[in-house]
Amino acid sequence: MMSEVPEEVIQGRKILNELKKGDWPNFVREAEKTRYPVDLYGASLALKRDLFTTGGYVSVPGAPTGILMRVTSRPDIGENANIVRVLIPSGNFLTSDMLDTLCELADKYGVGMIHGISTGEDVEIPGIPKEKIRDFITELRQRGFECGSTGDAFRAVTTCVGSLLCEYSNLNTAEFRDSFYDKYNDFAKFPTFPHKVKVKVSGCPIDCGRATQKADIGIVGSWKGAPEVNQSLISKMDSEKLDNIIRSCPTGAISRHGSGISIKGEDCTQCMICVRNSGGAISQGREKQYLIYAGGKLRGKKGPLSGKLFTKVNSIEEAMNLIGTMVDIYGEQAARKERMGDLMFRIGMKNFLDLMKTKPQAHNAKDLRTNIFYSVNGEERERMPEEIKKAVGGE
Amino acid sequence: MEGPARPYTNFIPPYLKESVGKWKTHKVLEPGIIEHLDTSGNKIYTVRVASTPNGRYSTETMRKISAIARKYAGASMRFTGGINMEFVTKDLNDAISLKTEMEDLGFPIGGWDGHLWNMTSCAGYFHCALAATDAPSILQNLANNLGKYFNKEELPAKLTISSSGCPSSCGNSFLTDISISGIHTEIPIVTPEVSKCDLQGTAYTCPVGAIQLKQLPDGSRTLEIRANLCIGCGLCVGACGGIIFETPEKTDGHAISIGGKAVPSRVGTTLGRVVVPYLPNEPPYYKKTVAVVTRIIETWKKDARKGERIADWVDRIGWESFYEKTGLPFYGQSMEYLDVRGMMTLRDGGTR
Repeated sequence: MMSEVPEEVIQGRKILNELKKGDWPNFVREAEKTRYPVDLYGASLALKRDLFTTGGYVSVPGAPTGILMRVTSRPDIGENANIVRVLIPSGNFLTSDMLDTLCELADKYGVGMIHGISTGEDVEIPGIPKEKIRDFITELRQRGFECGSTGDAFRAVTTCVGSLLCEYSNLNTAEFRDSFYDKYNDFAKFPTFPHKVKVKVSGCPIDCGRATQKADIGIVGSWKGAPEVNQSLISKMDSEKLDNIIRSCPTGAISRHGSGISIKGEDCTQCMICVRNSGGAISQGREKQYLIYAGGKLRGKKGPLSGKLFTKVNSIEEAMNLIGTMVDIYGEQAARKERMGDLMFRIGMKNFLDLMKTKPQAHNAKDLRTNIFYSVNGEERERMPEEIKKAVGGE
Repeated sequence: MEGPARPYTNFIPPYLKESVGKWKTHKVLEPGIIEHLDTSGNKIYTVRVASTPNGRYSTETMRKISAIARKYAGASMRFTGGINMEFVTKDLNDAISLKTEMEDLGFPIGGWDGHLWNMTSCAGYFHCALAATDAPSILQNLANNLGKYFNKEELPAKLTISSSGCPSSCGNSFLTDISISGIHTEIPIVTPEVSKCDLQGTAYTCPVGAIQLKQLPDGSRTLEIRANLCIGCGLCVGACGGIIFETPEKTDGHAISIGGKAVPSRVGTTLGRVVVPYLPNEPPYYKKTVAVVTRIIETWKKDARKGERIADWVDRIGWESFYEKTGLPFYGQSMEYLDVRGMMTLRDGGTR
């Protein structure tokens, strides 16, 4: 006997038929090739209501992070919604063998679907029934993968492509990510922080890795002073093109000297505009420095906040150690479920820097305050005049 | 070994190894095929391929992609942060054959310089428990309509589009030139079902502390949502089945924001600004949303100077002129809350 098909499923199928049209790669067409409950998705579109809730709990030894439990509120239409997140190698390169292995596992345990890459830059295998999760993770481990990147731990560290494919990179981001996991894997695996901590790494200030925008701790490779100029390439350059490069500098640091150019180091803001437009004639400087950004986030209390420049360091090791120091203090000071950005917003940049035992510098302030309702404590009342006298005189 | 598989050198194409860190220049041969040259004269070619809007593939398709990578790209491929695929080939002919095979499979090649670079989406109704709007189907419609900008028609500068189902912005909303973000316009209500949930745990999920434990006269406990504090993020709804949005089909919708970018040039790194505060969810075509986005892109394309991202363009012409030129109506919700610098800071720094 045929069981009756619910009205919303019939409506949903109509909607999905419309959605399947078009030349662009289509996720509904892809989903129909798998055992994913397409009817459930159609029904939620027809009802304009999300039919999943988080729920359930499964304990897998050695896998405290990496599992997302989902329950459908309409098990009569479809189920099997748990997701396992799989960490991928640095630089996001996956070999064909790895892809085939993931496909095999997704067919065996899941619904035959792979979430190619999420915006958090990990691969997700959806649709694993609760009773199979343990076996799945065991086999995943045996085949050389690791799950992770959920909960209040370090989420998957994401990087731009860096030195692997890009000439602008000041930092081998893939190598950095590898050594990050050598050092901090425990904190990535076990959820010990007040809320999630996202670390993102970009090789240069163009910031393809989004380290300044949505990372709790962002690391950007940069340099000190003026960029390197290849004068012989500059002298061969089309005069109009050279003029454009000189004009495009936002601080006017570039000036012409005969057939060559010179760039004033103290005026350079390392914005990369001239480097990008010169086709190799201007390249980033030799003396590297690394900018640490803190407090970028999208979700939660104060809405999206972009990261603030926290400090500048001179070596990769310093940057790596600073990550540990920052999350230590964040773990002590933040309220539960408070992201680093919210903590900074709540207590203010000065107090945040004091907590982090970092001396406030002018580069920390995007703009200065317009009111004078702050407090100056006794120690500061002593120290400030002394320092000012030392700097500019005035007995 | 604990953690992700490493070192990375085991997974990159073999011919890439000696060039790592020694790149000199790159050249865009056509939208989606880029030639890289290193200091010792080695050349490699990167082919950028669009993915499905939410990055989901069937294993059937993924196996074909894997076979193509094995055939042309050193048995390796990479996913980009903008959920595109990239293949690195040693030879230009391989790159061109790869392009043909991927196009036959239904995946276009493109996205560099003045083109649509990438489109990112969260899970939406597809898998997530928090969605206020179905991000992937909106993005599918946008992609079907704007796909021409990926490799055919040129734009003044880079364009990125994202779509997220809720204010958590997992789809990279606010970071891209044009972002769609799902919003709940009403606050959730507490039903008697709430007693089945972990009350403490649910109260903890609230980022603003708007949920209070409350004891009823009969001694049982429930939760109370303080309406003046609630920001409508929906996190508690995902955590507990007893807290629901009463009529999401009527009240949920999405907002459109523009002008997010990471690159520090011109106006610098900025987050997106809300230009359209509310549009209803209208699957399957989301005609109003597509019309608004198309209007913004076309106005920008016509009006902007070369190299101006949307944020730079708006910075030059101003918001008043933006609304005039696009013909979009302006609503008060788009306005910034009061400047926190002067009004809200506490004596010892920070805010209330």
